[in-house]
Amino acid sequence: MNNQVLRARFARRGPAAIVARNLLDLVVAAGYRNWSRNLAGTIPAIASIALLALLAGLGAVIALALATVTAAQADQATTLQIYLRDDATQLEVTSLEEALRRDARVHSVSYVSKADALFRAERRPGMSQLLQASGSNPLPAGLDVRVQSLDDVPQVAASFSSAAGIDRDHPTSFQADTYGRLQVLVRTAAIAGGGLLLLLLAIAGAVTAGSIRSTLLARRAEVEVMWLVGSPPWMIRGPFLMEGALTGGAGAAVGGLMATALALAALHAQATAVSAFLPGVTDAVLGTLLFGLVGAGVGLGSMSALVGVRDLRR
Amino acid sequence: MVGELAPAIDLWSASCVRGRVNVLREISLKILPGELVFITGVSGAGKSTLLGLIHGDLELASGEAYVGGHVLHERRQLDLPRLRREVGIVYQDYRLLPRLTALENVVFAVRACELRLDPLEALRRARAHLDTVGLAGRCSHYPSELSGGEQQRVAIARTLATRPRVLLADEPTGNLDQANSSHVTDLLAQIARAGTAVLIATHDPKLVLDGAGQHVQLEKGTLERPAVAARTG
Repeated sequence: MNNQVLRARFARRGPAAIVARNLLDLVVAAGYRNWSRNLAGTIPAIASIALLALLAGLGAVIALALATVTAAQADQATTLQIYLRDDATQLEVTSLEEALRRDARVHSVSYVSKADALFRAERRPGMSQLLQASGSNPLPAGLDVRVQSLDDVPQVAASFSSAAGIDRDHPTSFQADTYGRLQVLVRTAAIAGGGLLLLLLAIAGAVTAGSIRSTLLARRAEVEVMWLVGSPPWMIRGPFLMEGALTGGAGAAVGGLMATALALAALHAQATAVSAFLPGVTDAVLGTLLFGLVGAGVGLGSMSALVGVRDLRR
Repeated sequence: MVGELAPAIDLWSASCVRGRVNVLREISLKILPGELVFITGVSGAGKSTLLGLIHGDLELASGEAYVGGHVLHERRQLDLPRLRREVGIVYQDYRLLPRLTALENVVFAVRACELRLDPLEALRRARAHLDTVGLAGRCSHYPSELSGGEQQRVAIARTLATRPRVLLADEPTGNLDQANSSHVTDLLAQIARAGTAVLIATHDPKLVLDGAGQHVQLEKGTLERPAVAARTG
């Protein structure tokens, strides 16, 4: 029994296990040891990647919210709501519905009662309290008109805004240029944000590459010995790559956590706000974003490290 | 010529240019496994350049060079890391890692070049080679705690532990006193007797051992007493 235990404990390791153990020791563990020893020297790189991750994280959250709003606007833009007077007769409503259905530009028409309109409105954040405060249902009944093409919406709105039974003050939900303005805003924000992120990416990459380069210079003697004895180049670069990955991962984790915390705080505030300012952003989305940022940070750090040690022989 | 040993180093009309200076001119040299060769010459004669050429640090301008089966003049196909695993080199300044002990310096080198080697085997081999160079009792000492001669012997042990077919020594005794110089030279001769081709570059003619191996002299990039006649075909 004892013999078996001893034999198992001191069993000779296979070549694959030995290579794996050596890789772990000479690349992964060596990279980690060097990184932790030179942590103070990598702080500028960590800080610049953290800033990049923070801005990228917040930018992603805002971009998602804007994309959700834009998608909803695009969807809503083809649905025209025609508001009915409270005193509109059944005949007026039926005639209007039939006229709309006959129009080739219209895809479908559905009646929305005052109760349905109230039910819909109550599902919007903050509206419930507002409607309860008013005491009665102030919302009009109406017709949801799905128009075939977005381009036809203004004409359909104009054609039926003076029909019998329609509210004279607010005949339809059509607002010229709302969607167009939103698109311009989104495009401008995307270009400005993208440019800023690219600039920060270049700065963070350069700072990380510089940090790895200074580490390389500090360990010149070690690298030289590895060259002299014929270490494969990837084995020499491996620990530096590991250091870059750790620097990038750490920076991105710090920045990502800050961005996530800010977004969570905004989500918390949104729960009691009148309108949703971060539509489409959920806890799950933020979790995925954090993982994505850390992964991107690891990638950026590794790539920067490769740039830093590109001319290893010199 | 059945049974003739293939040369460990075979240079034929090898030239090397550094910048605009023709440092080596049509050098022809053949060194067999187990042979000890001293290259002497004044500073600037081209000794280090010759070793750099054999170690793959420098490129040939013309001629041919074969080292341990590697074709040095076909640079694009040259597997430099593999060449360096077969051609060890020791320098005048030892190049030991100051943060590591003598044993760790040797183990580091062995593990850095042999990924398939068990760490325990690397340790065993490092101890054995430190024992070979007479430093079994100094394994746990840092380079700063060793004399120049001892540091050079650690450097030799480090190179030997990687099991090279060729050992190059560039002014190995340049920083050592007479006693340590003799000790190191004897050690290199002993390594040659064990089957490794050893090439020692030195500016000190007193280092050349009587009757032990070839002695060639470099002067302004040319061999004054070529070891072998130029190849014919």
